Amino acid sequence: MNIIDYVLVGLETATTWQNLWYCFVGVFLGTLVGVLPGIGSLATIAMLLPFTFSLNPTSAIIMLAGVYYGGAYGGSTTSILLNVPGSASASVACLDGYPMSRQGRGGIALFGAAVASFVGATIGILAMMFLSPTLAGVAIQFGPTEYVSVMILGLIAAATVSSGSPLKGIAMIICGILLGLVGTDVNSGVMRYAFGVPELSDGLALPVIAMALFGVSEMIESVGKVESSMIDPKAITLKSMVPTRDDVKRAWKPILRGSLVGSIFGPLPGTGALVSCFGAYAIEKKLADDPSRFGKGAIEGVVAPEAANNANDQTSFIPTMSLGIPDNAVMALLLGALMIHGISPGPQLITEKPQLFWGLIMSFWIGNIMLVILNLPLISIWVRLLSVPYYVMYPIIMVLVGIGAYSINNSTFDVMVVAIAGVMGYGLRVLKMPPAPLLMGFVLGPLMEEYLRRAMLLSRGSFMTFIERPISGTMFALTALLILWSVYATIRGRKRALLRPTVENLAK
Amino acid sequence: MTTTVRSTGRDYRDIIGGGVLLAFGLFCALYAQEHYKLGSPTRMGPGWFPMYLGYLLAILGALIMVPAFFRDGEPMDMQWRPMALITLGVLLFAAAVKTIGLAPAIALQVAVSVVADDKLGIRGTAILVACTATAAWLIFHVGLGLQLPAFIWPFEQ
Repeated sequence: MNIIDYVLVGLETATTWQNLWYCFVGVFLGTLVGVLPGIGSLATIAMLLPFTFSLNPTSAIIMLAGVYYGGAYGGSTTSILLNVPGSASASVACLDGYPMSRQGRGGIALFGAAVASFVGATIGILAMMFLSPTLAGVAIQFGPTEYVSVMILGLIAAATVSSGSPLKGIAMIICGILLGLVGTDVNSGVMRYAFGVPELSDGLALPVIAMALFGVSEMIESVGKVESSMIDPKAITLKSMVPTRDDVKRAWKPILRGSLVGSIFGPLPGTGALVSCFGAYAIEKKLADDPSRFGKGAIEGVVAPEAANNANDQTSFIPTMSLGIPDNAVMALLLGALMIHGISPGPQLITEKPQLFWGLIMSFWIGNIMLVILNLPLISIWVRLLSVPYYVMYPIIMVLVGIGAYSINNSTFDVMVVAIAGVMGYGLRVLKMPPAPLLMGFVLGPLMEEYLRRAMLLSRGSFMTFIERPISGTMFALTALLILWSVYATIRGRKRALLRPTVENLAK
Repeated sequence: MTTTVRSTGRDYRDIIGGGVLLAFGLFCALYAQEHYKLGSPTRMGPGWFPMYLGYLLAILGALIMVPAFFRDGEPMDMQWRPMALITLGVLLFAAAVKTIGLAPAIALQVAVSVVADDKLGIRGTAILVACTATAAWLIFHVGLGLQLPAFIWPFEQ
């Protein structure tokens, strides 16, 4: 089969009524939580996860993925109209998007952002179509030794590259791995860290941990701090979105450059959407004839980061789907979702489950078309939602957390774990410990132990195997460099990370 | 929550954080040593991996904690009230959902959670409870077939 056959298989899968519906639900919810502050796509995916248990894995993953990339569209809306980023990476869209709104060009900014998002996503999807099978082809030769090294590299990169404190990031990975080990050890049948609680024999449930770390603790943090906002929905008409000829001329190159930046950073671990957006913005500012326009409503400053954001979101699926190594916390959650559905992620996934892989890719395209429709003609619905005060919203979300946790095993035990882990997660937030590496460690921990066991069995207990084997050795060298680099950066300027993007830095 | 900038002489955030990690790491390592077979690298027992991870975590915790004694830190900002009430709400939901039913469980949870941010009055809370309970029952019980009756009368069985 060549790539066209695969695309056809994917289209056939993605366009069944069922999958179209779940794709729509996913991107709809994604836009919703992208617009609303105080709730992120991670928590939403975790809450939805238990309800996908009864679906077939393809529909489940199509819907959950839709929440993720849909969030990028919604996030920029509030950045542009209100100067309030709905998600972290959308903060870049504030820089020039909000000034455009104040000049009465908000409609054009929204239109530009949507088009840029669509183009960025399309380029990201194309990159995924061609890169994933290649990468999987290489990775299929990996043995357990290589897997351990790649996992360590991925986790360390995610914890150090763009975080405030590499030490804390790495500590959180280990905490996550340890929490992931709770339950029955597959090799010996011994129950680890269960303390006689029978409900823990299957381990802590992934949705529970994710909901607690990213839902409950976020809610506690945001109560009393999130303000609702009023915008006149009539102010944003379709007519006001038509860009001028000058806008189009200025925007198309930045869109393409932004998409490229996002596609490069997306598959790399540790460089998330935020880094892509900042990178794209910085490049546009450098290339501009008149950099002083930036920060005052330059359309290039809106479209380039938006394109980068969406290209990044789509291409971050590449390592997850072709290696089975997630490069951020959302991908870890999706990987966990696949495993719950009985699919073992890895390089064999693309060839063994072509419907799932290509169906997912094609659903990205369909989902992005839906998103353009949801975000342009229907923008006034989302804007109205912003006037719902947070003190009405958070109790509803907490009820959803409760029901979501209950429905994992039809048991109240998981609900209680959510409550306890939620307090702990809030404690981590207060102590400025990043929760994302914890979740990644939690998902990868058991896999890592299993591969480590096999690697050690093959090498007869010699740890030198990690350095002696060429691929693994390279990975370890990279990991060591990364750690040295981040230690150096920490000593040079405390709390300054390798790629610590801050809005202040860009606005200069 | 006031955030007054004052010199504390110590970064208590990282002292506590590092200390917790140190303690958690040591606990995991010692517990694994005590209760599980360690084995050898070639044939790892259930205790091998968690023990080394535990010690590694303890070292990292110490590395976070020790320097924090010698530098200034920002004061910590805790949202005690939302933390207590939102958690209590979830626990009440857990306790009530199988004993008195979904609707009262939601009512309890919403009523308690709302107090975390005291802006919604009694009337507003009542409306919110009614809407959330009805919507939840329709979506999850009727729509998704979750085995959760709206009301359970606990005394009749």
